[in-house]
Amino acid sequence: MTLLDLAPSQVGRIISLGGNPEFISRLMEMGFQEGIKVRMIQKMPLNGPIKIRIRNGMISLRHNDAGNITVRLNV
Amino acid sequence: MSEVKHSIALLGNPNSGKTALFNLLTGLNQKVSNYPGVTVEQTTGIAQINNTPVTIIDLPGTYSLAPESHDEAIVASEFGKWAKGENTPDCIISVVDATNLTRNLYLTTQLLDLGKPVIVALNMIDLAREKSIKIDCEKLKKDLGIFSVIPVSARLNEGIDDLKSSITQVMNYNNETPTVFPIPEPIQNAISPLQNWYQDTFKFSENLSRSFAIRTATIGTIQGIEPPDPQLINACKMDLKMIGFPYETLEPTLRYHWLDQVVPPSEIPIEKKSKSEKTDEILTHAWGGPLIFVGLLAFIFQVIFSWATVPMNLIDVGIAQLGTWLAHHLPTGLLSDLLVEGVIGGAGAILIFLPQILILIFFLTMLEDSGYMARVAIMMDKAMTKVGLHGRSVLPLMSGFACAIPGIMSTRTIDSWKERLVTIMVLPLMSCSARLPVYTLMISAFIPETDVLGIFGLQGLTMVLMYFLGTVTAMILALLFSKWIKTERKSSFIMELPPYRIPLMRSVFRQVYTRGKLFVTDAGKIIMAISIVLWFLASFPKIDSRNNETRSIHSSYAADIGKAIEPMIAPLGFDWKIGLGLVTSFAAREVVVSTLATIYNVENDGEDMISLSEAMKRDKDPVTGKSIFTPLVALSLMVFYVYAAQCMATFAIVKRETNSWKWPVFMVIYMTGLAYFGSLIVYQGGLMMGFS
Repeated sequence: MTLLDLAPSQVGRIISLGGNPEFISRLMEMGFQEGIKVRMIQKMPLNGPIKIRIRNGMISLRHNDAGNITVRLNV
Repeated sequence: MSEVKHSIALLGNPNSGKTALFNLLTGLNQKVSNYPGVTVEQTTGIAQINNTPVTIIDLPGTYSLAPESHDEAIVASEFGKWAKGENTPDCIISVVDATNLTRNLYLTTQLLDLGKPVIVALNMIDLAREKSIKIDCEKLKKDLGIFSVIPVSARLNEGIDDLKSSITQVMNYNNETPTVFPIPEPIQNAISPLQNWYQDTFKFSENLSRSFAIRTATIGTIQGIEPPDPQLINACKMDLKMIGFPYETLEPTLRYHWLDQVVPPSEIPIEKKSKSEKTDEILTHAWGGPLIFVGLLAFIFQVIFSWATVPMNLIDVGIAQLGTWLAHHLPTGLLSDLLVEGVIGGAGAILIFLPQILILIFFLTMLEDSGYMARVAIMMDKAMTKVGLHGRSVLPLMSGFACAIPGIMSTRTIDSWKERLVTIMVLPLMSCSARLPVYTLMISAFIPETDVLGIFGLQGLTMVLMYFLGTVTAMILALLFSKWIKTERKSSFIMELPPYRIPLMRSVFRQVYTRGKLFVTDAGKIIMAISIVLWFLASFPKIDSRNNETRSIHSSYAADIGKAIEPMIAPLGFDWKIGLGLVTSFAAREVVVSTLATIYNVENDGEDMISLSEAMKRDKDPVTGKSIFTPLVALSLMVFYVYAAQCMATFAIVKRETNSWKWPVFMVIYMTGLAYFGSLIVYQGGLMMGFS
């Protein structure tokens, strides 16, 4: 499943990051690492950006970019 | 003043509070806000630390030394210069947001590799306390090899003395700080050739060379430093691939691996909803959010019109009285005429608009400082990408309502060049505060004060229409330009949303004051100079040679200039006086108001100062006897000012930011074209529809 499959307030753990290398690199610099927890906050309507919480920060990503991040449910 | 021997650089993530700290240390008034990326340029100031002057350098915020956007590249190339020993600071203060420690420390670990002592200013400690985040400063200091870790709150002015005493200590400290960044052996082997190359070529320390080798393998180059042979880089990448390591993410992987051991991420609870998230449930609600945004904008423009009328009338009356008083008390003659008609008539006409401009800046600063603008960026991203712009274009465009210049500067945070360029190109179409005087003057004089549908004032609606016209045109042109400008690479959008904060009134009013002062002094100088020149042109020759009638403005030099261009602008409904205003306001838009004021005052022969709008209403064509200004002419003139390229400072900044003459020249051409044809359509269309 990808980040987009998380429903608001669901928590997942990152499995892998996808997209172009610069984007992945920036994600990692912002603290997106394998095994790190993310919580979905909000999905903007009409496939707009999503808002998530990661490592104490609130980050917004575009819908398509978020689809390149695979996660598993944190249980 | 004694010589400044020491220098300190302030670095940190966007929105970590570097600039607030810079202001506290230096006593300067740099703009602070709650939007990531407000500092887009390097600024320096002098701080008195224990009676010793120290140069403090404030750099743009960045997440890393591997830059994504223009403001970040400034930091990375500065760091490259320091590595080579150019202007290397004695110490780096790494400003860290205590509420998001690991992410902020990532940059700190990159800075440590320079070998200069690093002080970590653990900012926003008050917010961390509120969230009960515990930070072991001693452990951080030891594990990362930091000189000192000082908890501070730039907002509450807390811990600044501790920071200063740590700076004093660091100045007397001579040892290089050793870093202890652990790397697995196979990776060390793969990057060794690159590391040796940096060590041999530039005589960098082992740590710094290793750090640069890692970054070169990751992003291919180091800003500000000559690159090694591409074959050397490729060999390194190949070696990394062989051991199954993706080189594109080498640096963040290694550093976070280290940081997660020092600050275990398991200790950060992310399940709990923060206060900001709850606020967002309303403010960024799927459809309620955009509605609130539009409502806020409508409210602000309503306020600009209604609240400002009282101080505007006061200023208006005050200036008129001053002019009349001077006219009666100074000996009659040229000096009195110059002062009353030229200086006070011209500059005074502009001063009236100061209240509106201050109110506008006040609200824009409030929106930014509260953290709301970052939310607007994400709410608008989808719509913005549809027209070829970027979520991050919203803040620059909205700043454009105040002034295009800071707006254009703040496009530096847009990471894709194409979207940045398109934003810059359409930004001057956003009606800036210099248009306000023109709109206000025309509307108050010629648009009747009637109500529409019982609730909206027609005057207010006309004003909103002008802003709307500029904004919509900007969006349409953005779409056209983005189709036309070639794409370099796909843009991404990773935006950090700062927590909401109640804006500090101290810093909001400081910003309002600074911008107000700038308007009065900078614009004032141009207006004053042009008003005086204009007064001469309008007042001379004193004697009309043809019929010996003294002093008719219609035979002045100014009239000659205006009448020369009159045929060109007559189809737009403009007479020679407006034409003269168009010429003088090429340097700055608001000058048209002072130009008209000066001309009418000269015409009125400096008896009493009369209000400009009264004079315009009374002005009749000497031949036909018809009014020069009609509501249609006023509308045509306003549309002209919505579009026209009339601001030298904007072209200068566009030239600087795009580093070519091509874009500013293109900007002038397309905007002037729009202005001319826009006005032509309004005026001729209006005539055809039976208006006059």
